[in-house]
Amino acid sequence: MSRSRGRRAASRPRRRAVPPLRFTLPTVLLLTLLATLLLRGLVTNEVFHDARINVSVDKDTVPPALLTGGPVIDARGPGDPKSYRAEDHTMALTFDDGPDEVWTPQILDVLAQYHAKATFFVTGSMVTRHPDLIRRILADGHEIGLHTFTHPDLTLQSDRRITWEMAQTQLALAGVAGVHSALFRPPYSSDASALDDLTWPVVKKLADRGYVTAFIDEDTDDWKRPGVDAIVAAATPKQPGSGHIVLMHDAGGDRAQTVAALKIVMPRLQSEGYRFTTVSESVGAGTSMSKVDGFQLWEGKLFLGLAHAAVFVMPALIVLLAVVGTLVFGRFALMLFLSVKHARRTRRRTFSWGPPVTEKVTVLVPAYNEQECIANTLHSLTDSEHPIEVIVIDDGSTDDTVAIVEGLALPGVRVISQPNSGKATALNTGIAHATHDLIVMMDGDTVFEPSTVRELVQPFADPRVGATAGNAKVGNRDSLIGAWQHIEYVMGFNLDRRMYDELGCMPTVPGAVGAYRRVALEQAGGMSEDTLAEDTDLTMALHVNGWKVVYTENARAWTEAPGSIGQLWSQRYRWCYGTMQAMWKHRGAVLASGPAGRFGRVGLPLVALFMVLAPLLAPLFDVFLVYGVLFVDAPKTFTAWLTVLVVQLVCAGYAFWLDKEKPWHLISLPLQQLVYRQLMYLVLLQSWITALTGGRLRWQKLKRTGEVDVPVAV
Amino acid sequence: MPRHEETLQLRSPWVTRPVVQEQPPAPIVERVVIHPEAAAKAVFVDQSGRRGRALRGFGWIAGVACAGFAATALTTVAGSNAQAPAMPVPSPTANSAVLGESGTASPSPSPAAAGATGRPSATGKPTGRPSATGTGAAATGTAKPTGTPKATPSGAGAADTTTTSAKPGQTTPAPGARAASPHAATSAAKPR
Repeated sequence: MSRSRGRRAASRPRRRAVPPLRFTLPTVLLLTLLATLLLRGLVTNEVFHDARINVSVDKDTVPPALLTGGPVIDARGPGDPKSYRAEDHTMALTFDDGPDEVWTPQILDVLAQYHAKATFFVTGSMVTRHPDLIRRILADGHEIGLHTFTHPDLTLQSDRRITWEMAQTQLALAGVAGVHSALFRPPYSSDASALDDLTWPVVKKLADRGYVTAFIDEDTDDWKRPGVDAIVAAATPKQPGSGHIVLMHDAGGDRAQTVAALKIVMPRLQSEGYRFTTVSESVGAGTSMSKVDGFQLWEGKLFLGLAHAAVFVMPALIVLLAVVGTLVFGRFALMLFLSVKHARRTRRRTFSWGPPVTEKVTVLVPAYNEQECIANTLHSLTDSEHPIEVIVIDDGSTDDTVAIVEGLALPGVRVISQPNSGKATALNTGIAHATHDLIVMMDGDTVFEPSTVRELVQPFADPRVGATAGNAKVGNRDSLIGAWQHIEYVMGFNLDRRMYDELGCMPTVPGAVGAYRRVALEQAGGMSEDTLAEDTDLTMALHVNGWKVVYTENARAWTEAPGSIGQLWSQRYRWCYGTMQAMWKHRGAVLASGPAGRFGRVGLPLVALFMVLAPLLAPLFDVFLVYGVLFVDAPKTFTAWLTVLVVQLVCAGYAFWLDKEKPWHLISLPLQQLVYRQLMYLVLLQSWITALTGGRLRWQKLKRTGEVDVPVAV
Repeated sequence: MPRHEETLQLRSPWVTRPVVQEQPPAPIVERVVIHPEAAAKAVFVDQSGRRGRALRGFGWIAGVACAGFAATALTTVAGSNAQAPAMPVPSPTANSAVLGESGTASPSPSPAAAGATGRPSATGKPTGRPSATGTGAAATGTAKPTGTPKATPSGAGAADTTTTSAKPGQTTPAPGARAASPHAATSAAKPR
């Protein structure tokens, strides 16, 4: 990018065919996360779950013979539908809703003990989650029939949903065991006489796809757990010798009674000459299952593998979400607790920094093209109650800034002009020309109150204090963006500052309103240019050198916050990336001793956790929110989101009260949670990417090393 | 402090003159000529671009892998082929009582069939028996309705086998007629 343009000129990157990786990769990652959640939710019956049961209706359209016929209904083909029943002395035990990892093995053991065969009507979700059980069922010689994927009442579902349920269950079976089945039993079914105008069309539709529907003769109601004797009685045919298809369950609750009943009823019936066999065999159809190969087999295996991966990954995601939640709420708790402490301490009548500070102070005003604001700024300074000298450092402005200042002809105001070299250099120039020992730094568009400078410098009565941070307030707070930033300044920045003041590790003195001791500045080497957040860098250097940095809530300054998303983006990008740079630059403090060590071991980790790590994980929160609202349970998810919002509202309300701000701007807090928060973590994400890839941002001027120049990151 | 600096002072800045002046001293504008040394390096910046290129490559691989996972996952869940495999038709055997299209029942030779069970059944031949539609089951007594309270006048004599438990028969509508099986859902705790 051309260096000859001023540092604020926006340079457009050339158009690319594909959006750059730094935008596509995070989007793809988040969408993949959502897909993983969906897949896992599908096989655990969390999404698309329909628990409704329909009522029975009339039977006008059902062929009457079916109502009086056997439970196995074959409506395939163009002819009349036929129903079949089990032969005499044949029991077809059927187990619905399985397989289940606790009960199915027990049932299989009992069946094996009595050399019996049975039929398992399995749900696709359980098949996916317990492939080994399916394989064992087949290895033991039993039959498998379909019982849909998510166990909905099919009469309430659309054709597409019904098709999907069957197809997905077949796919799951194919992937698990390489077979598919033509036997089907609808959820919530009973015997053939219960066919009605709603259930018969479903049976017919599925028969058109080749399914044979198997209802039952006997329902043991074992899922109600009526007692072993009741189950045994229900399973025993009333007319000895008649063949039956019996319904039991191997999943969905405690099936101990079922297992116990089996152990009683099977030997008893076998002694009466019954044989236990599969449904297909009991009606003389051989088997309903056949092998799958080719594409469907591989698609099935793929589905199984992906589903297992999704289920496997989920606990890790939950842990991360818990981490974010803990960090967010922990920060609130810490902020509130420490702010209360700070307010109590500094507002006590007996509190004092020491003898009043009355010495003259230098105020540095770095200005670059501030013709609109510089007059207001300077006038506010001349109203100051404290004696000051003002130095305006003109950083190579191309507009009328200098002319305006000259025209004002205010006493005690000097202008130093330098070629455009950046704010850090401008401040260093100002420091070099300052004649007093206390230096206040502000921005060219900040407006001070008359008491600001005085309040700002009182803490210097304590010789350990090296810098003080003032209370920056958003002036243009009536627009939506302004209101969001206003909330952020009051809650985020100022509540944060109280917390960090109590902990003795304030990471940033705001560039808009801060005061320093000259000796501390000289000790730290002035402002450095190797980070974009020179104020944070300087503050951290002061900590490392053992100076105290405190917060003065009464030193108010009014700044003009960025009014458009673009400007906000720029500002926050610089701040965020700059803060990361400064933290990395001073990372040695973690191992240092004394006050530097205290900052390194308390301040740096806190800043890292709350400003750099937690926001990076915040998208997870939004992914889960979208997943919950769209696919699982909108009201519950919404309630959870509201709870978090209420907590934040309470915190923000307290912050506003502490700062004596009127609370009505808090109305925009809900919207802030939906838009502003996402903007901030986009900024953080981009900062991370820039930091990791080593790109140079356009605001940083670096010496050319002669190697290939790094493309400027936007 | 900036290292390379020359200051040209146009006027001496801060001399307090004892002479009372009518106007306050005009603000002083100093033009400073400095030669700012561009920072030799900034934190994180890798001027050679090596780290950036390496990470970019890795990023593309990760992106393609994730996109592939998501696309495949969504395809396998599309649920396209619902067709059932071929299954042999349960076939009646010669010995079993079969309902012909005309509706005549063939006699059931098996003694077991006639009485106790109340319905004709095959003599142990493993075939089910189709009940033809439209035949007057009651008249011939061969068809055994399940779950109906009407007694079959076939040689059964035996009361209607209540093969259905707790089912009041098809005349009663509503939930009683449906065996509500519990659904197999074991939903994991919802993450929040």
